[in-house]
Amino acid sequence: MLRITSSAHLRLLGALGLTAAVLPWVNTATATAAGASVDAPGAGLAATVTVSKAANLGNEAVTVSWTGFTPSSAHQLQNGGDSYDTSTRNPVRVYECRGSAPVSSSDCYGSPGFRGTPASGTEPAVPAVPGFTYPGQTDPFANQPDGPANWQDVATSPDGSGQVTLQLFTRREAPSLGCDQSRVCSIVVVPNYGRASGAGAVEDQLDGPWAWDRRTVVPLQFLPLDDTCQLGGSPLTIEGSPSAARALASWRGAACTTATAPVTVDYTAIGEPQAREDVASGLSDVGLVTRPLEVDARPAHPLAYAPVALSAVAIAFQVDDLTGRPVEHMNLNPRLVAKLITASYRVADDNRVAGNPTSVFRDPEFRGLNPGVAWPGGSPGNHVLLLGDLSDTTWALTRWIDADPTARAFLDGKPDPYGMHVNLAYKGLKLPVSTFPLLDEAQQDSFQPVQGLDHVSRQLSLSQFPGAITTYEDGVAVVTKPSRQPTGRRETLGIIDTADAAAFRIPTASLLNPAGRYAAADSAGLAAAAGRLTVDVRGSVAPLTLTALDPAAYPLLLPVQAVVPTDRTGASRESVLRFLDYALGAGQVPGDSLGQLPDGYPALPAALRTQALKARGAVVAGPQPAVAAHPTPGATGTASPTANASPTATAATPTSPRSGQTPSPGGLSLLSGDPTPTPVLPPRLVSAPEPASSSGVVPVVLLAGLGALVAGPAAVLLTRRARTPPWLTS
Amino acid sequence: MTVALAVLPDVTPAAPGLQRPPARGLLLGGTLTAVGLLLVGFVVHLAVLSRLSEGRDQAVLRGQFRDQVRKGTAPVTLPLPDGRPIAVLQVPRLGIDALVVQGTTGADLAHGPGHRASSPLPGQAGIAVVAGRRSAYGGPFAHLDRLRIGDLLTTTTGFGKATFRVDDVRHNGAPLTLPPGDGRLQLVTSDPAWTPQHALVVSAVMVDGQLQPAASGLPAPTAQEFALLGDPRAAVPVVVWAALLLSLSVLLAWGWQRLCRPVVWIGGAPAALAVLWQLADALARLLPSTL
Repeated sequence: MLRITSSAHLRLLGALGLTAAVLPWVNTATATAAGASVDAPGAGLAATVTVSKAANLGNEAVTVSWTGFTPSSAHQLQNGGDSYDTSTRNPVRVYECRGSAPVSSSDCYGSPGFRGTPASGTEPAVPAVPGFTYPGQTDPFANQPDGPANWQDVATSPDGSGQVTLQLFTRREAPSLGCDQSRVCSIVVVPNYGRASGAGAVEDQLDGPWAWDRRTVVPLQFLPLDDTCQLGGSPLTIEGSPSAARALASWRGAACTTATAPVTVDYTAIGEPQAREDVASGLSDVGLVTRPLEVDARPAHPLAYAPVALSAVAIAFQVDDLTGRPVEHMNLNPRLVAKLITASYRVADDNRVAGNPTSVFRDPEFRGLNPGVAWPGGSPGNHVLLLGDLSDTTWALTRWIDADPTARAFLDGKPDPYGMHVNLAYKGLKLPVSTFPLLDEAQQDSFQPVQGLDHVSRQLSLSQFPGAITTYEDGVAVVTKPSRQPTGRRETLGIIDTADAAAFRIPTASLLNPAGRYAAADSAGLAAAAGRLTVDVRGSVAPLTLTALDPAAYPLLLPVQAVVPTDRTGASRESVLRFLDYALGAGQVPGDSLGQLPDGYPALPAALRTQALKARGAVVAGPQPAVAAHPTPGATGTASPTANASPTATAATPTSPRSGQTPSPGGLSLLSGDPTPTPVLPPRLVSAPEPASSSGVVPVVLLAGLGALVAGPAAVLLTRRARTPPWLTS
Repeated sequence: MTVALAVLPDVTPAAPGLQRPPARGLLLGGTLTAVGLLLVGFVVHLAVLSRLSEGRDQAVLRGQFRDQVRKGTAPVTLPLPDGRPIAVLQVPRLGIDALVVQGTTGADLAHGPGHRASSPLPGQAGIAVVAGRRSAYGGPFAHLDRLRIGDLLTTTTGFGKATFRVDDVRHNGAPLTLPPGDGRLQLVTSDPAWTPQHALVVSAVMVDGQLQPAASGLPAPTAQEFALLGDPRAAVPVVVWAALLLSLSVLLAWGWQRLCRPVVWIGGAPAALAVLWQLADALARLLPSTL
């Protein structure tokens, strides 16, 4: 199935004198959710290319692997930043490209292009191939005008196999690429075996037409983006928990089309502190939080907490060892994470971190915890990627650090056993916090949190250091961002959530829990932690208790709860109920189709589900009658100390149940065992009277004492005068 | 109060060897002055000096309690012996950060706010009652009337931390039906400050923390633990200390005339001070316990 339409290209083929045996072949892959495997005749006689997932795609990462390719001349490429390897032969590039049959590398996102070569010796001249052109781009060979590209270069092993992880951009991340349900895209694997003479088989000429002709194309099928549900009328506005964003994106795309109870959801991922404020004030209908409202919040409506998903903070890493192979496992303890979030590793010209190791990979404590891996050297200023927003994820992470005595002591200035000390700008830092503080101005160019949890995850997926250097040229600010790190030489860490880590296929660190074990952020670790969750007095799931945890429990669990108003009636109540029913029903079925629970979210434990149904019951019950009026305030208690009116608290009889309104649970059959709404008002307590006896003793004593103090000396004076009449003394 | 003793010698003739018996007026005047100094001294003790002992008790008990919390031995079951530290109460709006002892008799409240023995602990289901003094012994609840609905209180007990939100502030002489919500805390003191007429009751409902099940084995309430009632049992120590004071006065008067006066000063003043202090403490127990 030769798909070459460009006549220029045909001429080129002829000029190159390629035989039919090496003509590019594109096999139609049978795209399945489980992945796609296609033959790659252009790359080798028995070569195949496998993509881990080729359907139901969104902004996520897939693994592209191949076998039967010609081995590269080195086990890893000698590239980095914006420089290409010019010596290793037979490299492979993996692109995401427009359409199912891209014509040249200029259809492939971020391709640097090929500037052409003049004729030399027996080789004819090769015309230039312009790179992928972003809107507004002037130089057709500039490959990074608006941010990092996603293509990856990698070497093939001596056995002919190779593997790389590619982040796929949808229309939202890359509008010029435009991948979505209606516009097909593809993955293209391009090996560069060089021209007929063998020249040019290196990375910096990977966009040469001879390499492109050996390409293998795997078409991709994307899920619909937000546009399946048109926001019209009055959608249910939901705000909060970016760590639940992937679940919400999936749910909202399907919830509007269910046959029985469609609901249109307008979801905004914002930090939980803001979500709490907005749901308390009624600005949004439903808030997604992991911690309840502040205790002094005065919500405008009565609220209930319905757990809908479990997530967790993940310390994810894209690190390749010295041989270029990705590292899969890492252990971290709270003190190491404390070092990371306080920028405590040494950089030049910052005497607050003088004497410390230059990177976590050179830290003896880290190496002791993670033996047996040839860790990379670690560039100075290689900071962890952090979230810059106010967020409960940051709160949960810093709370875990604060609860660890050694981490706390380190932050308070006690050096670790190897002599490393905290960045002095952070000494005595108070935790937990909802946003990472930036206290060391000497590192302000590189230690820069990123706004938006999804941006942090995307940047980590592309392995790009945080920070940017702003310089001024002719009065114009020029922001230079660090380049992404090439696969094989990556050393980035980031603090994200487990769902994003799963979607981008980024390994996550096992963390030391208070029971003294290293627990992984997998479904077992999350389930063990979820088993220890408790419900507090307000009916909200309380933050995980960090003492006496299950040894298997992952300590940074985030129980995502929907804060729902319980005083709604009519259509407004119906849409809240429909959302809850979707989230607790169809939305809990794991899978990668639209509407299912995406990978990275473990199943909701039964106890949390019960809690959610309780909250749903409160929504069904609707507005409650106002509580009975208080007794007349200021009832004076001067009267008899009605002595023995049972001074212990006695529970009063529950006030009469709700009158009137019977909620109609019509169309709410998604839940098995739909709880019959039986609103029970909390019992009311009657406090005993406080007996009182008026006592004016103190003023009386004071007056009497003062009176005596006046009368006493007066009496003495008078007596003295009376006792010695002058005529007697003379 | 100490001054009162210093003038006692004035009651006896000032110059030794004078033959003239003291005039009746002089005796009366001296007695009145001494009584006046005793009474004013008592009020000064309540308002000023008792603060010192309360502050010292708080510091010591807080140390004990911190140690118990760290070891996990802070009390979580009732009943408890009087005077044990059971909780830390914080009221950010009033700047209160006080250790709560078990018991609400006048003697208990001399150490700081006290937890009523017949009520559950803060954080347990039911109404936990904490009484505190309004004026004397440091007056930890001096400004309780400034609390407003919506203010937050926090307690730290063996159960952990609990936060309460004030939902009722009133004079309470009759049974009071509280707004809905289990897990309550009431702060009780007397009002107005020096001439108590009513009980001032602040009710708060638990809004954060783990609600513990209701306490079992609560002792029956006794009359002494109620806020505005004095403790008549204190009459015994009052009599004992008053008798001691009298004996000491006689002894010192005798010594003043017969012995070296600096010796009498050095030996007598601390003894008199101690007895007076104890007498004042005993007297204070006769007064309303939340004074």
